[in-house]
Formats: sequence, C-alpha cells, structure tokens
Amino acid sequence: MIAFFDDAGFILGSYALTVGLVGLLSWRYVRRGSQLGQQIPDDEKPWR
Amino acid sequence: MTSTDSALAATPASPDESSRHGTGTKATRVLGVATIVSMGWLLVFGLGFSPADRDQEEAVRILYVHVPTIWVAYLGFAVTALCSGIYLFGKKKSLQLDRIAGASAEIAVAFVAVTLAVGAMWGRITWGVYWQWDARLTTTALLFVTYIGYLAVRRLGGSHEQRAKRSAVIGLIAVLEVPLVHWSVRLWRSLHQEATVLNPDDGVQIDGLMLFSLFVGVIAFTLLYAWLLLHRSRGMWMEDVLDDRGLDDALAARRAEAGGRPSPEPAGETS
Repeated sequence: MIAFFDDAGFILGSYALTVGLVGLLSWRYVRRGSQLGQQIPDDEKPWR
Repeated sequence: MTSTDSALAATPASPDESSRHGTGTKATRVLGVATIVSMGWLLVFGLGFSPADRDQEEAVRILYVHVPTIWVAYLGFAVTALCSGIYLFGKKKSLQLDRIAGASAEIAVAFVAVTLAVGAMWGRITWGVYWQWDARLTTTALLFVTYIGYLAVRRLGGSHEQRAKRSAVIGLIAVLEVPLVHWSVRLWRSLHQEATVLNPDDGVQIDGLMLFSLFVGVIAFTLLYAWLLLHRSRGMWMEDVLDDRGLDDALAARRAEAGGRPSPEPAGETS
C-alpha cells in the first residue's frame, strides 16, 4: 500500500469522497426503485 | 424503534406486495458485481501499484478518479443529447427515450460534482488553492449549473410529452458546452494542464502503469454509469406509470419515501 506522505489526507479523502457520493446515489436509486416497485405488479414491468 | 416495530416494518403488507420487485434484475446484479470488482481494482492500482509522478508526485493518484468521472459525465451528457435528438426528430416519440435522457443527465451531473470536488483537492495540493477562476474550472462549473437547470426544467408541471419535448430541446443545446469544456485549455490561457491521453499533437505520453490505472478507472466508472442508468430509468418509468394512475398513488409513494414506511394499501385491495 501507499507509504506515508504529506498529501495523504487529500488523496485518501478524494477517494473516500468519491466512494461516499456514488454509494449514496446508488443506495438512493435502489431504495427508490424498491419503494416504487412495491406499488406496481411485476407483470406490468417491462424488465421483468 | 423497538424490535417488534422492526419486525413489522420488515414484513410485507400483503402476499401480493411481497412478490413485487424493484428495479433490479439479473443483468443489474451482474453489472453491479462487475462494478464493485473494477472499483476494487481501481483502489489497488490507483492507491497502490501506480508509481508517483515526476512532477505531481503522489497527487497524480487523484487523477485516476478525477479524469474518469468527467469522461463518463461527458458520455452521460452525450447520451442525453442523443436520446433528446431521436425523441425530437425521430418518427416514434417514445417516452422511454426521454426517461433515459433524464436519468443519464442526472447521473452525469453527480459525476461532474465528484469531478469538481476531487479536482479541488488536487488543486489544493498542486496549485495551493482549492479553486481558481480558470477557463477549465469555470466552464466545468457552468456545465454543472446548466444541467442542474435541465433537471429543474424536467420537474416543471405538464404532461409527460410536454416534459419530454422541452427537456429534449435543452438537452440538445446544453451538450454544446461539452466540447467547450474540453477545449477550454486550448482556447484560453489556462492554469489547468492540457490533455495527456487525448492529446492531438504529442499522442499518449504517460507511464504504462499510470495509463493502465486510468483505464481501470474509466472501465469502473463506465460500468457504474450503466448500472445507475438501468436503475434510474426504470425508476423513472415507474414514476410515470404511477403519475398516470393518479395523484393519490404518487402522493402515497412520496409519503412512503419521506417517512421510510410502506405505502398504505389502496382501498379494496386484499391483504
């Protein structure tokens, strides 16, 4: 793994920020889809 | 919340509802696993195996996230424009094109936000400041704000067809900013570095392992984009169906989303 260096906070922070933001967006989409999916029968969904 | 409450919350309201699924399919699951694996590779190569740069030193590692996210954002805006163009000028006015356009723009806007935030961290290390009113940074911020406007216009009232038509016009105009952002470093004197990989003059001038790490980043974020696009466009399809069914259903969904509770059963449905 990476050695200790002066800018580790910014570099690791940028990766953590990216993972956090895309993770939040992914979770929101799946959760929203799950909630909406409860209200519509599967046989009406074109992807099922 | 007590354990009894948790158990009740986890129990489907009816046998019928328990067999209803969300936006996931086998394809999204395969895509999701591929995304997670490639993201893992990005972490390993971006933070581990890739060497430090001669000039930027360790800060180059941020570029394995910064560059792929803006490239995939460009892709997302291009898909929005393509679907908008087909909707406006094609023979078949399919609302699915509008939903893909909207979903793609939404994801691309999120990716631009990541690019700007991560780029600020790279700027802090390399330039000593988080932000400069430089041509590349300013045009990217303008691109971000433009597509926020596009998403806002999609939420205006009216029929689905009205929404599709007006947002398609904006989607076609807004995409003109993408080449402006990309070429801004050549059009104006810019603090931002010029393209390293897509350089028309000198070709690709980058260490092999750095190029591979960048490539892994592009693959990872492209897979993520495709996965998000499938989920979001299907979610939008269901939103439109519920919208068509009436305001009551739509309100119940929003109440359920806001409260995190299962939506109430419509009157007359067996439980």
